[in-house]
Amino acid sequence: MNAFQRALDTVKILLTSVNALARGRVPSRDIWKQLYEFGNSSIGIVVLCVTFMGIILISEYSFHMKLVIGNDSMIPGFAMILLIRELAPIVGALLITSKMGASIAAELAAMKNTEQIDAYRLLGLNIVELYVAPRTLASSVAAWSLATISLAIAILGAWFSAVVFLNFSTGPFFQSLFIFVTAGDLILMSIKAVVFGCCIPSICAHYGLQASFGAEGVGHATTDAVVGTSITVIVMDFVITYLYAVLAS
Amino acid sequence: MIHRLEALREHLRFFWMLFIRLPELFTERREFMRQFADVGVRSLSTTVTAGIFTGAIMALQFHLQLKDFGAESVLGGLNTSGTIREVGPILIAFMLAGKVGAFTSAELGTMKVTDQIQAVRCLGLDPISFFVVPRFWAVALNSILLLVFGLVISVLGGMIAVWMVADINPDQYLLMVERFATSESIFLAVSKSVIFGLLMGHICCANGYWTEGGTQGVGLAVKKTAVQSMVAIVLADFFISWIVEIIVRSGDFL
Repeated sequence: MNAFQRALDTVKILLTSVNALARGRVPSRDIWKQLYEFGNSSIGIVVLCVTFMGIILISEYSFHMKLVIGNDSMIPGFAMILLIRELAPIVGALLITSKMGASIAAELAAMKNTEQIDAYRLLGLNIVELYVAPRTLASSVAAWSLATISLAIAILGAWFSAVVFLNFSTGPFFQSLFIFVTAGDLILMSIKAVVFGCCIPSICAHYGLQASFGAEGVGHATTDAVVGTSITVIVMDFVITYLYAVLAS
Repeated sequence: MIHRLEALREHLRFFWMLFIRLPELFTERREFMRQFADVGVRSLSTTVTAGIFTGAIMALQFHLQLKDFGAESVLGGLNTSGTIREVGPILIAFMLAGKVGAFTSAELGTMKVTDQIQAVRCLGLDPISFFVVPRFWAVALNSILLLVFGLVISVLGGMIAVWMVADINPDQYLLMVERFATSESIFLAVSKSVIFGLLMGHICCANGYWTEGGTQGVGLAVKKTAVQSMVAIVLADFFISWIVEIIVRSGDFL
């Protein structure tokens, strides 16, 4: 199977699940359950990672800005813009991929191995509508909420470290933040988070459904799903950022 | 909490054991060379893709930010320095954790649940020196080399992206790289690569070797490896940045 066929199959899975969601064929009970799985179970780790990245970013930026401009009053704005535009959505998406995406691929591959998928087909049920559709909605909502919540806590973490280690006062810190961060940045972050979250279950489900037989097939499917999804997320991030850069200039 | 601390102690014990068993690599050098070549070839394309796109994304972001200040001429230096010090190692290491770490974990886990490790023990061989030690060093050394390579590639990615969007030609870009990417930045990047490589090698081998219970156990081990590697990488990144800054400030460094 070449890359083009893979992409086609993934898009097909995504469209099928969006179609099922739009026609209301997915029971809301499933969606709530998956929202809990995607959102609640990974909030701790996403917040931890993004907060630490915020703290590191602010100290690195302080180093760079002193080197280039010679004063560091604009650091909070600059560092937090990078966090909002790039790191909050992308780190959240990568963590959701390795936590939930891997288990989607492993579960579907195991179901294929034990011929459960054929059994569903025999009963006239569509596995994509049944399994992937609730996860698509849940993961888009969860990716956006996780990005927003972790961002809020990361800004507080950055504020703390700026005040304690870099001799900032609270006023100038938030002033610089409010001057630099615009509605466009927040919209860009939301678009990125929702797009990544929406694509993760479909890509992982594709790898799970294409798994070869045997225990090794499950392992391979899981690994390939994590790698394929991470690479796709990075590439999509580049495309979205490029479009934004072209539109903004 | 006690449970977590005990898990941490087990991890440290396992890591120390792998470390002091380095001489056994010589007796298992065929296996080691095979693993080393295997891991390297398999993850080269991932590293190149991740490196190019990380550099390109960061370059676009820095361009958007610096444009308003007319400071576009320093873009090359600032982007290179920012990428190799901070965001580059983290993002490329995330990719490698998915590629190399998860794969090694799944391989070892499958061996464990299909009783291949027990079989080797029955033959009178030590499964740790036969399976785990060569894999640990292969993954760790490969990750270090691939991370450094990915960071070098990311400079290229940034250069191309800036050329495409902002009309800054490569000569001008590279001129600034020399001025801003100091020896201190490179020291920080390499030390991050070394620590991340050792961490990834340890986490994938430990989780793979401790796999229990059937196919689902393998899936669980892979998930654990990916999540633990990411958290460990972010935490290690924070502490390395901190320690290196203290070292640099405390005296005449380099």
